[in-house]
Amino acid sequence: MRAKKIVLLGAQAVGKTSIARRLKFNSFEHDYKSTIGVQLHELKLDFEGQKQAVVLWDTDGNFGDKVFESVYVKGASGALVVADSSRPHTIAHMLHMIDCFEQAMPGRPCFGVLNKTDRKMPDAETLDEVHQHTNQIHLCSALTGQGLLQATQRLIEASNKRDVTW
Amino acid sequence: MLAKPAQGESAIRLGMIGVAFANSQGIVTETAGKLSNWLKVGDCLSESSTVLLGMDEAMDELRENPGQRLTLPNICLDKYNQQNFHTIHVQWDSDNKQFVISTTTLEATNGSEFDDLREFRAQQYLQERLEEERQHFRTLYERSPHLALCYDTKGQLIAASNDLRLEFLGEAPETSTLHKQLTEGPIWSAMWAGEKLNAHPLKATDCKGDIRELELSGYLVTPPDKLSKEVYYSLADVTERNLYRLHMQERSAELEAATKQLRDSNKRLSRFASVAAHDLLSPLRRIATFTQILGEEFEGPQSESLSFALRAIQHSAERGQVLVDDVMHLTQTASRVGKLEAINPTELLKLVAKDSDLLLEHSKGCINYAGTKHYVMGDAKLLRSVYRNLLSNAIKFRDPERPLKVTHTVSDTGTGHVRIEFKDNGIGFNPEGAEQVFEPFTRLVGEDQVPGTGLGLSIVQEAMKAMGSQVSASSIPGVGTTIALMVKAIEK
Repeated sequence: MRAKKIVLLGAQAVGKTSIARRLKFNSFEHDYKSTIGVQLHELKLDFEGQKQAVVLWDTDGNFGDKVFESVYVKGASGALVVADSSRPHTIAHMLHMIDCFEQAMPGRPCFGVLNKTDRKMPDAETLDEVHQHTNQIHLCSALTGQGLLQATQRLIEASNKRDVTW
Repeated sequence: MLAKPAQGESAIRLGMIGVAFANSQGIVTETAGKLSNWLKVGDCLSESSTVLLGMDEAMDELRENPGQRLTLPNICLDKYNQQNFHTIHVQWDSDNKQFVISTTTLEATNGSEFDDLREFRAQQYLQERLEEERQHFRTLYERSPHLALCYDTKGQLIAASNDLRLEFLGEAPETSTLHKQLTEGPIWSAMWAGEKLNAHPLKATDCKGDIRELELSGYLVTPPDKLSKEVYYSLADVTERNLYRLHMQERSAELEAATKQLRDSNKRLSRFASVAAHDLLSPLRRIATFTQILGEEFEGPQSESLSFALRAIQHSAERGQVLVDDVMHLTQTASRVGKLEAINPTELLKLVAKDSDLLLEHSKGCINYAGTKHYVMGDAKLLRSVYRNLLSNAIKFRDPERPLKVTHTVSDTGTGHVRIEFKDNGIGFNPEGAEQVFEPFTRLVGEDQVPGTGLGLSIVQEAMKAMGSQVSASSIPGVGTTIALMVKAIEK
């Protein structure tokens, strides 16, 4: 099975590295350590009875939407765009980044991830607004690990469907 | 084209950290130096290498533009969970028809040169979080126009809403009782212990010297820099609300006491009526009995006036007994209600009609039934008493010119009630008397025409009330009377 490149996008300090660490090492670090440039994580996920190789590109949130001008997003099979559910402006940024990804990589799956739900669940009004924008939203927590594996597996599934269709 | 082994080695000798070559299909043909850890001969660059995964299109572009170089800066390879920084370059060598992949960074590092940048970003993030908390606080007290304030670690006032300054803090906030309570003692300790206060009751003296009752909510904002901790308080002045609540409690207690008094009084009255009626029955029976004995003693030629007087006494005594019986019935109706059960009203009326068979026959009456399958929730004894009175009225107030015809219709209203219509073709009464007929001792027809106590429909109304049901009457003189009962339906 061919390896998949998944990019993690989103504003600064929304928990992209924590998500990558949770997926790879199943651990969590409380200290905030900003990612400079990009960090790569190779992992194997159980998928439909087989091991699926995934390379996670954990990007620097400081890039903003300029990340689409770099080579980081090139060749990605899909993207997880992360927001901090307790900080509304990161959610607005997430929706913007989803738009940018769909424009740069048309047809490739792109899921929104509302992280830190252990700290604060998004209110109904925010969820309504997000759902009006995209159906692919996952409520997750890197601290507890809730919802992350499912979101990644769904993304790979969507990417495989696209490969078959093409 | 296969790679030339000398190429990689010479590049390394020239100072390259790592170098690899791949043919035009992107298959690695040779690796040397650092890159041999990541790429192996036979690997497909765009399928199995970590960095160039999925970059088929980017490599096609390189092939078409030989001068172009693909640079992947600051790549942090996380093999062994170590942070190693390298910059990877990919270029198409058109002379040898191969891709050249190289890393020029002199030495892989643990990334410590980025620590300053990281520290700067961490500070930026903390500042942003603090600003967000402050914004949240501002929104809170914009939404609730009452009283809000915040303190720093030393108990110095940072901000306070205007209302709070005007009403409680005054020109010297430090001397106000509220300030002291919020920055000393158990509340301040609770804040620093990380507790959140929600609607905590508090009393403070306002600027006019009045004691006000407040509700306090508070929490500590703890950004991880541990320097800029702030305590946020919001207060609600609940003095008026508490006074109103107290007033309402008093009123409610008064109302409850009055209701209890009324209920007790009703009970006493009902008991009195019952006892009085019972005590009246005994002398009335004696009068009736002794009048009869007197009549028998004076058998023979009696004067006409004496005979008339004895008949009048006997009649009055009997009527008195019926009246007392009815009064007893009326006063005891409300207390007689038992557990409500499912009853078929049609079947119940048929049983009552059987008891009054002779009277019905005498009046050449008949009863038609409609909606016979409906059930109601009622007390069988009370409902039987209702039907007995209604049937008795129908017979008593029948039109002598035509045979009595009663129609009993039961229908489900769909609103949790069943409507029962008891309609006769009797003499009827003036529609204006529709409410009056339920008043005790009210008779719309003279007693000389139709005998009775005037309590029948009052008993019906009391019985219906006791079952939580309603009764109403309508009539057209000369056509007939309809009594409508709204009884609880059985729950589905």
